[in-house]
Amino acid sequence: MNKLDIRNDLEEKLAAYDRVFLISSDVQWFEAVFAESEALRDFGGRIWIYSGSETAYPASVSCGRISPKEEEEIRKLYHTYEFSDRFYVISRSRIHGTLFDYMDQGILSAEELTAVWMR
Amino acid sequence: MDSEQYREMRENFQAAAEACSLRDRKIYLFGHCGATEELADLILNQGYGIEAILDNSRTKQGRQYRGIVIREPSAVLEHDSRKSVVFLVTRFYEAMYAQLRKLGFDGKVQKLVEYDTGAEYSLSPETVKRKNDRVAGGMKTVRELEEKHPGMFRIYCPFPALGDVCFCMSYLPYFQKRRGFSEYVICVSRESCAQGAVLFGAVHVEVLKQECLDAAVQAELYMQDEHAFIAHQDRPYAIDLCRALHVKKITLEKMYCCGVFGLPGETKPVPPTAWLPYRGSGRIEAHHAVIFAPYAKSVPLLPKRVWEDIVADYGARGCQLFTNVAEGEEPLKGTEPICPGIREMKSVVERAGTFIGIRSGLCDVIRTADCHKIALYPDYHYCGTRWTAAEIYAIEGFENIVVNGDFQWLRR
Repeated sequence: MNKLDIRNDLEEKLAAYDRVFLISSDVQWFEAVFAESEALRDFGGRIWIYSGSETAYPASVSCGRISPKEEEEIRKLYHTYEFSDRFYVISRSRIHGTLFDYMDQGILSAEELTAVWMR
Repeated sequence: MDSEQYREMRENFQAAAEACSLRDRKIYLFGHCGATEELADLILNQGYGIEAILDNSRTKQGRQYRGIVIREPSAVLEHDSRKSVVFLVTRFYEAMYAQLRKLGFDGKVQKLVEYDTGAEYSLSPETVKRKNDRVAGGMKTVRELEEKHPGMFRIYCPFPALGDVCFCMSYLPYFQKRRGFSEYVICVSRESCAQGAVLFGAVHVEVLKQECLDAAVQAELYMQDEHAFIAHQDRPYAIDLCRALHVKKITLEKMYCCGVFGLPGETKPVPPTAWLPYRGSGRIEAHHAVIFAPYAKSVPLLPKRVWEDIVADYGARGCQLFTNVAEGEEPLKGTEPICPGIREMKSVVERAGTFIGIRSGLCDVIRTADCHKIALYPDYHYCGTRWTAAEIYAIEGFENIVVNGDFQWLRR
């Protein structure tokens, strides 16, 4: 997908789904936890996930495989402005704190982390 | 809300009143907070009625402000939407607007203060272009900062709250050591915040206009430059540390320590050191005076009667009474105004012996002061979570007191 396709695709997904996630490649280890979590399974709405991995998700969750370049483009758009409160990038960051920092310090478990995003 | 935002709100409300004949409409406000209360005051004082304050928080629903009931957002559908208008003074305008439309409300929704120039729930090419331009403007500010402070790490405090700056500065030295930078520049949007940073030893501080600061922060997010850091728990939107409160109680102190800076929970905050003696200390009777601090920028204020009762109590004990005021603020009745600088506050409260204030950033400033300190908490829930403000903001070394509806001041 080029930039325009990505924008159109995001627009489409935001219209069709209640939550849209981008699971960043830097936290792929977390994706298995996320995919198997109770919070994800019990979420009542429709979910779309952009991911670069082959992680298996429950049947109720829709998933689109993206390339590293596409991931970068989506992240850039996300970092340009807030275009939705239903789109989340699950990622670490060096320029601000993230929920993963809570996990590192023992404040939240991985399952609780998922619950935060699915609330 | 600061005076500039208040002016913006008042002017936008006047324009809206003229444009849409408000007398014939049901007026709703969305999102109960200090700013909404100020808007309600403005509207009521102009003789208009307010149908309800809408709020998603179940704990707030059913309560009242000046006789206006706080209700669930769907209450807006009870009247003909063509004859209703919803006013908002919140940074969550885009999300609230989307919620109202999803509920089926197709009447007028208007924001009266521009709190968040970084949010627009659209992916249209025009919007993307406008936001790209904003990022480009932010990059220009970042370049200017780099030129003025070559080689320095850039720390951004995006929200103009003194308490946030104090938390940032209390843990920054540990972060600085871990990331291995020596010099840094703190970027804030208010002079009071700059003073807060200096109090903790910051040498290089830049005060930017809020809009410039917001755009620079956006540009840093976009560029992901590792020589910059945004030290906040929920601003801008990409920082979601506050969301954890929907699952677990985490005090603001721990949010900064463990979430913002990723430090172990046992890390001890560094105390402020760059204090100045108060120039007018001679006017304060040593250890027999009280400094009241009833004002706060981002917290709902306490009822007047609460302060009247406290002032009367200390007055009856023969104490000398002062109200800490900023420009445009009135001292409490029966007290003298006092307006020391932030760096003089420790000297003032230690000389007086007693400090009683609404829980604001000023409490964070003086938390190491050696005197009797009381923090009063309005009884509200933090950011729509199930945790009260007192649970999230509780401060060590203070008597922490919640002021609820039937609060009575007891002599202490």
